[in-house]
Amino acid sequence: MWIHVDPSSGVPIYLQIVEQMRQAAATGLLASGEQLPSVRELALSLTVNPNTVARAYQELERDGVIAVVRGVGTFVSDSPPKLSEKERYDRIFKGAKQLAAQAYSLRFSAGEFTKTVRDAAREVYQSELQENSGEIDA
Amino acid sequence: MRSMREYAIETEGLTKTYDDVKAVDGLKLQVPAGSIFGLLGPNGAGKTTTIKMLLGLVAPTSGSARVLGFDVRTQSEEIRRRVGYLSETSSMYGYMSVGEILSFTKRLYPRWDKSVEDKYVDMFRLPRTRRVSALSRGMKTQLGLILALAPCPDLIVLDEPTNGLDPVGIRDFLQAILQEVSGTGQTVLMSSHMLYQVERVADWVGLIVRGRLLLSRPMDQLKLGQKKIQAAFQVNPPERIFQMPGIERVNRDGRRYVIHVSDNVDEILMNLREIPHFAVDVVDLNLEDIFMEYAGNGGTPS
Repeated sequence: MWIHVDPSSGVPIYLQIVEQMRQAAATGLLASGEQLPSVRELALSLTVNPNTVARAYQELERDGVIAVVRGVGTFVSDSPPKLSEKERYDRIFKGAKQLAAQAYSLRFSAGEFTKTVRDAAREVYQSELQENSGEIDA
Repeated sequence: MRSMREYAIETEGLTKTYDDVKAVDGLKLQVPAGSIFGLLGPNGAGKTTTIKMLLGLVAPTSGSARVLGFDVRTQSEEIRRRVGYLSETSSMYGYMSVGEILSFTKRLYPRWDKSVEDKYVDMFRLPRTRRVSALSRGMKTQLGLILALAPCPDLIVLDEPTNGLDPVGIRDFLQAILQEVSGTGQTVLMSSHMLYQVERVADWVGLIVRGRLLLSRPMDQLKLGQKKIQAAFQVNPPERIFQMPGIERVNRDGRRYVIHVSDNVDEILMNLREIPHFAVDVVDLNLEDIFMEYAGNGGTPS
């Protein structure tokens, strides 16, 4: 399994799984429609508690990264997240604010900070940008 | 059919005194049914004494305990029939062979699962004809695990279970527990001072120091909640900010602060960052850090 958990990290194991799967789905390492191991299979292959994997899957399902088809299996999904507009916004705003605070304490100017965010966005949104041959708005 | 009890183990004021020393001191322990509960604590914290009281092997000095609904003082037979137990010091009959002890134990348990026995005797490569006394320490532990799992008990109690196992052996051991227990509703109570093993498989953690239970929480909640914030402010922060709920302790060294948090970390951070600062950083704590927070300063959390 390409997922790696580090039990000695301060980040809960379920969040480590969520982040790695989210990342994998975003970069195309996981293709949409691809079947994922069951909760039990993944728990055993990582030697972690099945409740931990179940919690990760719940979170990923709520965010629209995976879809569970009862009695069939778990699949990578490209459906929109099951979050309200506000929840969606708040989630990203919270992370952005923390990041901004970190940039501020490293003495980034506002301009440097937004440029860095644009650079990062360009890497993550690469494929979409190629399709539209567009640029990211400032 | 397993009953829908909320807690597999529930104790109230459980105390054991040896001479004048309180080995276990007013323990209020609740182990949720179906959980894998890691009971952590330094050597001599009272883990083994607690386990022995739960199995009716040691009589409590005061307090009460129910295991699977049975009273440890009056119904210990009932309890032992339903519990698989791997003790810290292996107390198996050394003169028996591996095969003999397996068939001897099998007769005591109506729900014994022969396929579990066979699977793990093979996997651990235990020689059925060898005497128990001639097994290595690790093999005795592996045999002990089979004796605890194969009866398909409602509760599995493992006291310092990975003694004598190498890293591969430990991984196989934990795999076997997850494989057999997950989805069955069985409860596992596992004592250990080896934190990383517990960190992988346990979904609940209890920390016991000097006979007292200092905390008991779901593993994820513990890791999400327990943080250390390192901060340096450009101005003196208002004192009331350190009264926010979730802040356990604040250490100050000049303009540098270390703020120990057990909950509510996002809100605390937002508030701290509104004060002009040089840095406000969060440090994630792993189980060992949290353990040291509590056990390291003599068992007082603040």
